[in-house]
Amino acid sequence: MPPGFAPDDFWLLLPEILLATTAVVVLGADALLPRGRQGLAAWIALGGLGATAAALVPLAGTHATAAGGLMAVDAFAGFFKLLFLLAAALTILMSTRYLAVEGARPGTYYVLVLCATLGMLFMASALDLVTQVIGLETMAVSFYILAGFLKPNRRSNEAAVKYFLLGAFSLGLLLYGMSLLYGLTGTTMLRDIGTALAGLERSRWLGLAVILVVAGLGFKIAAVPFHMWAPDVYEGAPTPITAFLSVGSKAASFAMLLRLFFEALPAANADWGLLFYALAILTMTVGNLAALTQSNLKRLLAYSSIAHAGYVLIGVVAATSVPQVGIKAALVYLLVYAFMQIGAFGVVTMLRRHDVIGEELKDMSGLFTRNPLAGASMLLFMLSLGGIPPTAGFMGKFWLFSAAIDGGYYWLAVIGVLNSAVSLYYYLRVVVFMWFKPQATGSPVVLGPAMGVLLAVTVVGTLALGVYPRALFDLADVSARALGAAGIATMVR
Amino acid sequence: MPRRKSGPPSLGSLGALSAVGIAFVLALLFGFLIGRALDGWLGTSPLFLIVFFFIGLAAGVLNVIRTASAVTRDDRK
Repeated sequence: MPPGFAPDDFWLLLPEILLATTAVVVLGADALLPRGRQGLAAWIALGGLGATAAALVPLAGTHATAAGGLMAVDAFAGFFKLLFLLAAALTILMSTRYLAVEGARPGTYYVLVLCATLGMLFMASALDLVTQVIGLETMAVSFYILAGFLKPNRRSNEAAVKYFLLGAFSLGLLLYGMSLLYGLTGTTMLRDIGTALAGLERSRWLGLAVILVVAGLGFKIAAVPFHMWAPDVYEGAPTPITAFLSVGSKAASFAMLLRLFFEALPAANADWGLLFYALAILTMTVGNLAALTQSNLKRLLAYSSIAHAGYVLIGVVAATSVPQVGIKAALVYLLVYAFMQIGAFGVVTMLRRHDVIGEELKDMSGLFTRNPLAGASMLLFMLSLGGIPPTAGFMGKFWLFSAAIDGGYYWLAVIGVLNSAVSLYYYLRVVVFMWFKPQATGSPVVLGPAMGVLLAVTVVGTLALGVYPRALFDLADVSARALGAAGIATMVR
Repeated sequence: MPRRKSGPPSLGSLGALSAVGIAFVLALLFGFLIGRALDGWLGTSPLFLIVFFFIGLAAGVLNVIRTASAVTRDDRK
C-alpha cells in the first residue's frame, strides 16, 4: 500500500479508480476489437461512467478526506462529480454519429474523454495545490488532443495549437501564483494555507499571488479579458468536444476556483472579491455584445458561453458577503447551464451531415419543418439560455441575481439583468432562422437513437429544473454547506 | 478540403513558435512596469498596476493567437 493511503481510501476514491480502470479497458478494446465493431468502445465508456456514478451514491452524506488529506470526499465534490459524469455521458452520445460522419476513427477519442473526466473529478476533490494542478492538467492535456482530433481539418489543428499554447501560458501564471502562496505560508494544503493567511498581515505578495491565480483560472473559465482563445477553439474543435469543453471544463474550473478561494484565501476576500466583480461585469458585457454579430453557430455559442461564465461569477462575488447563498446560486446555475448548453450543441451536431458542415446560422433555416422535434428542443434551449420562464435558465438566473441583491451588490444584479435582455436578441435570432426562413438545402436532419436519448435528457432537465427546482436547490444547499465550513466562518464578519 | 500527408512543421514556423514565449513574458512585463510607473506618479497603487497587468496579458495572448493562426496556415499551404 502506498504511503499516506489508508484502507478506507479505497472506498472513498472508488469512483476515480473505476473511471481510470474504464479508460484503460476502452484503450485495450480499441486495439483488440475487430474493425467495424469499434463502436462498442463508446458503450463500454458509457457503462464505466454509469458505474462511476453508482459508486458515488454510497458516498452521499460523507464528509471525509482521503489520501492523507489531499482529497476531500464531501457533498460539494459529489455535486460536481455527478455533473461531470453527466456531461461526459452526453458528450459520448453526441459523438458516435458525429465521428462517423467526419470519417474519423474513434481510436483514443473515448479514452481521452474519460481521462478528461477523471481530471475533472480530481479538480472537484483536491484539497492541495499540487493535486489541483495535476487534475487540471489531466483534463487540459486530454482536451488539447481532442480539440485537434480531426487531423485533416485545418481549423481543428489550429484550435489545438491555440488551446495548447494559451493553456500552457495560463498554467504558468497559475503556478507562479501558487508558488507565491506556498512561499508565503510554507504549505500546499488549502486549509492550512487558509489558517496561515488568517494570521498574516496583508502584503503585496499576497495581492500578486491572488492576481496571478485569478488570471490563470480566468483562462480556464474563459472570463474576459482571458477569453480570446475560446471562440477560435470552440469553432475548430469537433462539436461534441466543444460542448464538453464549454460545460465540463468550465464547471471543473469553477469547482477548483471555489475550493481554492473559499478554502485557502478567505482572508483576502476583499481583494479577490473586487477582482471578480470587475471580471463578472466585463465578461457578461463583452460576451453578450460580441455574440450579437456572430453568424457561425459554434462561435455564437462560444460567446454565449463566455457570457454565462460572467453570470456564474456573480454568484462567486455574492458569496464574499453571503457565502451560503452565493455558492449555492453558482452551483445551481452550473448544473442548469450543463443541460441547456449540451442540448443546444446536440442540435448543432445533428446539422452536421455528409453533405453539409452545418455550423452556420443559415443552416438552421426551416429546422421546424425539417425536423420538428429538433426545432422545438432548440427553441427550449434558446429560451432557457436567454432566461425566459418556465425554463431552468430562468430559475438559475433568478437565484444568481437575488444572491447578488442579498449580498448588497445591486449594480451587479442590474447589469446582469440588462445583459440577459441583450442576449435575448441573438438567442431569438436563431429561433427566427428556424421558424421563418425557407428550408436550407442538403440531406434531411435525422434524429438517431443516441441523439434521441440526449435530447430527451436535456429537454427534461431544462424543463423539470425550471418547473420544479426544489430538489436541485436542496441538493445545491447541502453541497454549498460542505465547502470549507471553517473558511466560510472566518469570512462572515 | 484536400487531405495532405502530415509531415514535420517547417523550420520557420518552429522559430515563430519558440519566440511566442518570450513575447508573452515581455508583454506582461511591459504592462506591469507601465502600471507601476503610473501608480508611482499618480499615487493610485495598485489600481493601474492591475489594469496594465491585464492589458499586457491581453496583448500577449493576442500575439500568441496571431502567431498560432499564421503558423497553422503556413503549414497547410
